[in-house]
Amino acid sequence: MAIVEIKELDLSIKKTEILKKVSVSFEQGEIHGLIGRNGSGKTMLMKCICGFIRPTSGTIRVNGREVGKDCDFPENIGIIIETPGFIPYYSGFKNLKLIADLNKKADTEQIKRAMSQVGLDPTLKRHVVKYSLGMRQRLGLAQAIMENPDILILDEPMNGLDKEGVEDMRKYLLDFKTQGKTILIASHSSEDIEVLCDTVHEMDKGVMTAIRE
Amino acid sequence: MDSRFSVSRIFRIMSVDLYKWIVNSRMVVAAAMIVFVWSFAIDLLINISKEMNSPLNFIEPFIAVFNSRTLCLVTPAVYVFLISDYPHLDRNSLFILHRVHKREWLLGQFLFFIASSFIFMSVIFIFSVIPNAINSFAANGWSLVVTRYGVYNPDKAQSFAANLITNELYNQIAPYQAAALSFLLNWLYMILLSTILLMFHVLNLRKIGVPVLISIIAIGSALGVFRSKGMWYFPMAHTMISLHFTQYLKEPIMKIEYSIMYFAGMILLILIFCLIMIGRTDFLNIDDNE
Repeated sequence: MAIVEIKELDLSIKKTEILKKVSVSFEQGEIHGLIGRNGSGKTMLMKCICGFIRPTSGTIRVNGREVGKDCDFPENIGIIIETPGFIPYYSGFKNLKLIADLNKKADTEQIKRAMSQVGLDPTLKRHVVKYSLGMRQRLGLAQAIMENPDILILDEPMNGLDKEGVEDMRKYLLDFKTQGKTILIASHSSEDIEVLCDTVHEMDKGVMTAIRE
Repeated sequence: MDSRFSVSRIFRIMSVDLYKWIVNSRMVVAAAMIVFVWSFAIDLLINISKEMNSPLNFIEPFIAVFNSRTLCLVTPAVYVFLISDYPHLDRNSLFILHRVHKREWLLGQFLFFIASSFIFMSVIFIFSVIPNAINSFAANGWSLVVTRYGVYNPDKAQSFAANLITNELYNQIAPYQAAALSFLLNWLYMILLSTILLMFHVLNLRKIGVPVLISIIAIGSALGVFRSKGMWYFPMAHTMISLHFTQYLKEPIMKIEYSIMYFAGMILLILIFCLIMIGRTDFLNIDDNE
């Protein structure tokens, strides 16, 4: 069953065509890779799926609901788009608590569990401003998973992670998949794509050029 | 995202943005503005108070700040500078955005503007009133410094200090009412300016928001200085109580109630427009500064 369905998606910004007639479906319970050079439209496609940008034409349905029509932003998704950003002078836990309090889907225990799952100490009082890039990336992932979403949308989630961090992240994502969850991941690393993905979608200049199983 | 509309989410969005705004390094400009306002207006009033050996009413420096035709340009311009990158979209905002409704986010931003402008006004109030409070008196009457300086010193009657609070003001309205109305009207002015900024964001025309605001402030102030009738189309004139009255006639040129209605009506109209249009808004401009 397709959990994300994109039909005839066009996106133009200031008369520049960013996405051209993109049609693709992402099946539930699989890891889908998005590859392509910088500027190929991967991040923009992800932002469209998340509802941050309205496409010029075409439709995006997530869990059967049309983004921008049936809902402002898709429900039950976790995201990391580009480098995750946090309030610098709050601890990691306090940052996540602040976000979780918005819709109260994750309680304190779930936040702590999510932080532990990605290898962060929830009791650490250190401010995020003093976190390394890898720690911020892990905190970003904890933010994405703490509410137990159906879909994870991850743009370059391995950025800034050391070898051990990459291994942990891969392990976690594969584990997440076994729970029947769907992951959409954009990465420049061919190794990540090889190891993780069930399907690979290649983009070039805003066009979906190839799909590999 | 919870499908129900939530007031508590709106307050949470506001509080996150308010925190980010307060700890922003550009707040140093607000401190510089206070020093400027102090030395440009309040210090002058204190000096003529010393010269006359007569105390000021404690509230008069605040009234002077918001009724001076020079400073009326400075305070809103500084506030616009402080909110110029709002609605602020950093990488943290994405995590908040996708957990709320667009309308909740919009109302959270509106609430942030109400709160930030109130804080801005309160800081000016505190810093204009407190430092000279012990040398002042508290009563609902104007001081001799304001009402008689020009009479006792005709050679200085046209000086900047002597004209900070003009006779259109002290002949027509008591100081407490003048202070309360100055606070209210200027607060509404800043809410209106920020709501206009919000509208340009909603329309995906973020870059032209600040130039439009600066134009509104500059043109409104210029028309106010020359007392052109066109000044009433701009918000600035509505904030200055002295412009509402003539020197001696009781009948006002513009009723204060109309000015309040002007602000409330404009803010409400723009807000409703934004609520209708928010569905079309893109969240494209993500600032890199965390």
